Amino acid sequence: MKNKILWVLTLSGLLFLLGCAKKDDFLNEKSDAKLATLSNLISVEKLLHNEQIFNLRAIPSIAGSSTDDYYIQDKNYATYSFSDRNTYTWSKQIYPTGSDDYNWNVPYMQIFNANHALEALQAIGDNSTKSNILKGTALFYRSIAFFSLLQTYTMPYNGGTNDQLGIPLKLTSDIYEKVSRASEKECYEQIFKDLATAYELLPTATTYNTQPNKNAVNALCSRIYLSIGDYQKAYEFSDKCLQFNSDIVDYNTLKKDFIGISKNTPYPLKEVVYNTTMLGGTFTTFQTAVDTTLYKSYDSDDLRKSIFFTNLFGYPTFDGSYEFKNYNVFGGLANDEILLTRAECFARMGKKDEALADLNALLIKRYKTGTFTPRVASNSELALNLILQERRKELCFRGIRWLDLRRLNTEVKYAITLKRNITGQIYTLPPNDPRYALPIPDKEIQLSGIPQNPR
Amino acid sequence: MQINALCKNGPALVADKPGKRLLTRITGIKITRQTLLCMKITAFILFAFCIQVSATTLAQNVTLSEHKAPLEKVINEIKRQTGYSFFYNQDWLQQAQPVVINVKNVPLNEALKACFANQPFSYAIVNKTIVLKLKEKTNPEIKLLVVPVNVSGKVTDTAGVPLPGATLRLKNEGKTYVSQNDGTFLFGAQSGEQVTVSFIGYTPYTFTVAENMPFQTVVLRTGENKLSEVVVSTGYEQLPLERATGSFAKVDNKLFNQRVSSDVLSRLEGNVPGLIFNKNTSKGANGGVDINIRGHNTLFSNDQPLIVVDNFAYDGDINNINPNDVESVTVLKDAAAASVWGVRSGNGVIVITTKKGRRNQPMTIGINSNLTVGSKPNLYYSRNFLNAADYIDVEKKLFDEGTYDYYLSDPTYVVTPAVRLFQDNKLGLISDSEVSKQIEKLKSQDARDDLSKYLYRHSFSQQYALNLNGGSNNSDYYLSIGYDKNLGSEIGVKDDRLTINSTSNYYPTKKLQLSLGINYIQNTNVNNGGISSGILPFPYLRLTDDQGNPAIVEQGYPNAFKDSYVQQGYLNWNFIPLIDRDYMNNVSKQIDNRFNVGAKYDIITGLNFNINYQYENLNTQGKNYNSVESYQARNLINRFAQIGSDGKVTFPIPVGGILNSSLGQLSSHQYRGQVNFSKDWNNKSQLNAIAGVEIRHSVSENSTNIAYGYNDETKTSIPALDYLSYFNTIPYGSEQIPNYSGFGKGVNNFLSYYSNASYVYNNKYVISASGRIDQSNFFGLKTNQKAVPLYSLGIGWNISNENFYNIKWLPLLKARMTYGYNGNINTTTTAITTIRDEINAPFNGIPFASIQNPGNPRLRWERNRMINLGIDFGTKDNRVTGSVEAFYKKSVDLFGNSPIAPTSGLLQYFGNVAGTKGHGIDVALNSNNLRIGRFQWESRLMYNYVVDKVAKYDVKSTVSTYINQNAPQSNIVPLEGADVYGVYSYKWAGLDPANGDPMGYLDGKLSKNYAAILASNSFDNLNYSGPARPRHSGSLRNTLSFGNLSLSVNITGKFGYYFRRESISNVGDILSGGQGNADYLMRWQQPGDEQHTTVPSIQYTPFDFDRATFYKYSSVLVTKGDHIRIQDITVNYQISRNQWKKLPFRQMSIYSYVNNVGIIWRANKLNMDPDLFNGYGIPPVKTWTFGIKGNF
Repeated sequence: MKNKILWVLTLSGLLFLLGCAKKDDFLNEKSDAKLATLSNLISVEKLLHNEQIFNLRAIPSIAGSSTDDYYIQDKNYATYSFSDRNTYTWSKQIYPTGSDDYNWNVPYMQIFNANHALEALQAIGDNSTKSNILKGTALFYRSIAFFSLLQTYTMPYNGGTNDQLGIPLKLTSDIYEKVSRASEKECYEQIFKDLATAYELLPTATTYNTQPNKNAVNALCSRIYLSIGDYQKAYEFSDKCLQFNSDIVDYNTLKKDFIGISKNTPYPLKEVVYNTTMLGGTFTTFQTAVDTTLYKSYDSDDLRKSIFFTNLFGYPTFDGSYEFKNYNVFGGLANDEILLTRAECFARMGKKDEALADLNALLIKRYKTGTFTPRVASNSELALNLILQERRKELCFRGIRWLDLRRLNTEVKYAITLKRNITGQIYTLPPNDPRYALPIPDKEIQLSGIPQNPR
Repeated sequence: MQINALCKNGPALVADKPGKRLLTRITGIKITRQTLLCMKITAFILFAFCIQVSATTLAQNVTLSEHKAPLEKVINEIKRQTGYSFFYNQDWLQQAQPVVINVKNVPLNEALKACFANQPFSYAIVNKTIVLKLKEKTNPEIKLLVVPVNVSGKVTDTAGVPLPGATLRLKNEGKTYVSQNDGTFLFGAQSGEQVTVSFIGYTPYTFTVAENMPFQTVVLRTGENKLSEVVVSTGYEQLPLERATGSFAKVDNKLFNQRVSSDVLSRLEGNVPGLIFNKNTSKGANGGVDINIRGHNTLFSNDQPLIVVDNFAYDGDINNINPNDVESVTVLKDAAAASVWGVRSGNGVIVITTKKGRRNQPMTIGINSNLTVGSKPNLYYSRNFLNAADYIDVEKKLFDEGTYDYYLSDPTYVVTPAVRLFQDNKLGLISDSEVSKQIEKLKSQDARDDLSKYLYRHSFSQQYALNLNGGSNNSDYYLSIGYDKNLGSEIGVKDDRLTINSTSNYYPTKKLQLSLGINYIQNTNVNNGGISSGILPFPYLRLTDDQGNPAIVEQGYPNAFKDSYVQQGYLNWNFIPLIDRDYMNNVSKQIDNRFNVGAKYDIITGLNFNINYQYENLNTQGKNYNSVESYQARNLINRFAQIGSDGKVTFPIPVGGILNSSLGQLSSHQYRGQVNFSKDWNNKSQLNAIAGVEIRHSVSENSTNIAYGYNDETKTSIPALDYLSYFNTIPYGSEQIPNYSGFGKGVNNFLSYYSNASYVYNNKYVISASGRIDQSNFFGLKTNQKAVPLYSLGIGWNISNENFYNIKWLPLLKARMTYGYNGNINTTTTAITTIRDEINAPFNGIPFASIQNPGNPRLRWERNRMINLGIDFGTKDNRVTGSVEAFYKKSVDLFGNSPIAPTSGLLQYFGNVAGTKGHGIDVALNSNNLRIGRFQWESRLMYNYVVDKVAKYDVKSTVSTYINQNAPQSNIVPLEGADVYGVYSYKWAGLDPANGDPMGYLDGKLSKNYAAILASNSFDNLNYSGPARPRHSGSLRNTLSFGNLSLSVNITGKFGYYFRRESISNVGDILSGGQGNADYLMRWQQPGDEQHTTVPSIQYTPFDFDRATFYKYSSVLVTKGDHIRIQDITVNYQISRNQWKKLPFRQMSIYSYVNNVGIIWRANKLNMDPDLFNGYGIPPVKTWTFGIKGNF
């Protein structure tokens, strides 16, 4: 009897202990069944479908706020915040002491999400097409975030001939990992490497234009190469992009509402390659006045004048965002930009006719039907001038102006000094000024100790 | 000596054959040891069992063959064969004669007789112990002169239970005797000899031998006063306080039963220094348990102490434990006491020890029964009430100003009867005289009369408990059954509980103890009280009409509005609160089963091994049923009803009852293997150590469900409803049919290693150490791999045992000091990244996911460091005993929000970044103030002081966040350097003499710019009023006894804290049908009033809400919480068979108990009870208990 009891006890104890099997499994068991983790492809896919993070108010606007796309009227100036006013006047200090700024935070939040996705995919270790697409998507999201940070917070890239400071290249999701600023060369190399991988992995088409496909990579690459003045590469990628899809929306078909493009317009616009929008800032608000010179540069038959602008407040303001679902300013990639990039590259390569052909292909869709006369030029330099003028008019309020200013300032004939006039007080931003790299927010400097940009 | 003898036998047993075979067989199963940690434990357990399996059965018969052997050898042999132990003085053996004996398989008694025939000893067998007595040297001369008196008697405890083995020491002769199995004793002594009777755990008792002594009944009382005899339980081991260095507080059975309740915890209130009951917090005010031991050691993690019942952490509802089954409670307060419980010990540990049987004890039957009657709740207490007359005057004024016009134009808006009358009068529907007549009537009404009369009653509780316990030579048992039934103060609220407990121990051999415990608890709660909270609580509400019949009360929508729908075919839409409660049934049931088994095996003397396993299964079931007659059901059905184009009414929610049900199940397995070692070196030094492994796996699952069209009789419902479509609902909008279906599951895994050791040298110096490593499934492997042990170190010094110590009046003095870490856990965080599913992405409407909890692989336990300094003392004759302890605590790695470099992807993260620190004092004093004959006066004083500060917190909230706290005693908004719970306010500058506006300060200047004051984020404008939880608290219990009658009064107090009371500065509350506030009567009305009131002039519309907010959170409404109350009074009359031989029972007490007697002093002048939530609500009802308790 006694022995029986002991046996029962022993066996039950043994069974229980065997039941807990491996210690690691025991201690890794999910504590709440509701906790969803990035443990399978579906969850990673959903994370990458987070349009709130990757597409909605996703691109820094502070650089756009530093451009001559717009101006602030004297009477409104005081209503703008401390940072907004400082951004507008290219001050040495922009943010309140110790504060952070979403223009810096948001791209890093995207990088954080993308890194999580990449790590989860590695852990899942699945080499299916779906897994590859997700990896390509995450790499694309991370690259576009890195690139927009570089354009905002570093000086224009000179091909890595000296060690200009880039941005912290955060490549893991570990919140404790300290990363200092890499060199610009390292940054661009990382981006190109990642985009090359993404291109291999991504599909040729996606259901939603908020998710990247091969063509989005081409479009982004053409923008990046253009921004660093590599016109050969910019040409190659823009050409590749347009080979696949060269849709340009005929503005005669666009409907306009009281504010913005009508929601009755077929959505999304075929012209859009990759859809994302700008963060809020002084230059994205509806009340912001359009630069007078810019506004005047449109012909009366130019539909862009009415599609892009409105006169609600007694002065022209921008309300022509390609993203008319959420009333945010479009900050993505579209064929008009790519077409103009290819036209510019052609012109710079001396291919005047090809350049003008691209330019005219765009403009015919921008003028009232029957009013457009194709542009002509006697040489490629004149063609380039025409193209740059149209680029200014076509791509305003897209965040591209800042990139173009930085790039063209290196060419003396195109360099310009920006001016602000606030009740007679004049502020200027000369070409290649160190202020073309915005300051990194104080909070980042304080907490991670990375070097600040000289201003 | 005994240890040595047994040690020699040890190895022989291990080498026995069956054991070896078993070992071989088990190791034959090839399982990799590295991957199976569990295997190691198993192997060890098996090892222990092997030993057991081989042990021979103990015999009561003895075989001895010795020729001139030393007596000691023979004694050892008898010990070995029988398992009996011997009790004698080693020195005596020098007088022993060599033994010649040759017996084979004879009863023990015979063998002993033969052994001791020629020895200078006599012997007695007491409870498996053979007690030797030195035979008195016969001295014929003296014998002739002084004839010894025969002293006979019996030793029992206060319950009349015999105490076998009690020591009776003769002072002059130095002899000792031991009481027999039935507690009796018989010896001879000289007249005038002083005999001291002592028994461990009881206060010694001395009597003087006189000629013709009658049969002495010696009743020993439990020795709560004497440190050296108190044994506390840590849940892992029993520890004499003498050997302890840590901070333990014990509530013994007597003290535990001073209060009467159906739960365990409330009996600790006022009885444990350092244990504070927070009654005015959100949780405490809602009937929950909110207690703290030595303050607060966390910010956002669990702040409740760990509850341990017998050996294991208790997962069920603590209210399920029947206090009648509880023997004692030990509260572990510092690191040395609690750190053995590791990461769950950060808030202290409450160890509940239940009653057990005792071996060699005849069956004892215990009964306890009592009835408790409560007073009717006092609804008239709250200051959140304005009398009907003033209230209606305000309504009239608002009406005349047209304030109600907007509401009256909305046919769906319910207004009070007075406003309705004014409106009807305005519309000419009713004459002026009729209005004033009806208004006068309304003004004479008081809603509290009806509420009190129809919704409340005297509470009534019954408690019955019966237990049987006892034990034979090799087993003991405790069986109990308890039934509690409570009818709450609110009509329709009742609960009952049945508890059945069985614990038994079986000792198959001297070395093995097997234990088995089965507990069954069934608990039913019915909550059909109150009236719907949606009702307008205006002060002249009536629940009945003038004839006393239940009245229709307007709720939700005006009756006229409802009637218009009812005429079209909707269900009756009237709300009659007094009838409605008959149509609801809200019942929750709990069944809690616990099953535990354990085995303890003595490997060698001083070394034993025990394994314990507990399975607990807690099932909860909730059913909230609203029949089709109930307003709740009719209202929901009507709101969703649709009128078709043909005028027909259809009901998307089927006409029928509605049943909300919930199910919960918690099952836990706890497993422990522990080695216990103790060794004593020549009474000079002692080592006690334990080490063990514990595994815990608990799974909780729950689900909720709703059934429409439910018929309670046939248990059928209509299953297929359209939960997806949006229906137009009355009065406007569209909704989906509510569908509360859900499921959840949680898993909680722990693997822990612990050890605890103490070394005592010369009874003077004690050193203790403990350590524990916990690993769990919350924090992931990274943290587990780097597990940091929670540990403690302690030293103790029994100063009074030093040779140089000669303070006569203070015979007991002990100093002790401990240092160590406890831990705490936060289950809301995860080491891995978790995501949350969302729908409808902004551009394409696709489902997506966002990161909910960024994975933080560096998560770790919160750690609470505590340094404890204590002094224990006892004056001569234990007149005053007690302890004073000071503690310093610092909590690190607390969970909190911290800023992080934005490149991480986050701006703030919730991690181990915060810290608190604190200090305090615990004092416990017991004193025997007076003892004159049968009259005795004892006091017990407790005092606690504790301060908790936020030591580290990197995120600062806005000034208004700190101030705008309606429950600062419940919510923590950390501010580095400030109290953990603080009341902040706007500085008060009095009332404006011109118009009675409240005035404050803005940047140091007097200001009435309320908007600017509210918007200011300058910390100079933040006024700190004081802590929201008491810094000082204490209790004083005085017990007067005269013979068998005793009276005990417990006075408790809380000091050094503040609460935010409510007031009134505009009539917004009255406009929305609230109850108003009595402060209205003290409002500023004309210049000069500011001299004697702080209540501002009352604003009518338009309201300046900033003005109201400023006043609401101004320092003038921050009120001191200090108060003293008489908590309870107990009267007890006890009779026992010792005094009255013919009693059919051993002992019986009749007792009466009054609880919640009342506040006797308070700092606030408004008669408010600060133990209520912000001083409002219904004060705890006074209860009277009458009971009887006995032992047969």
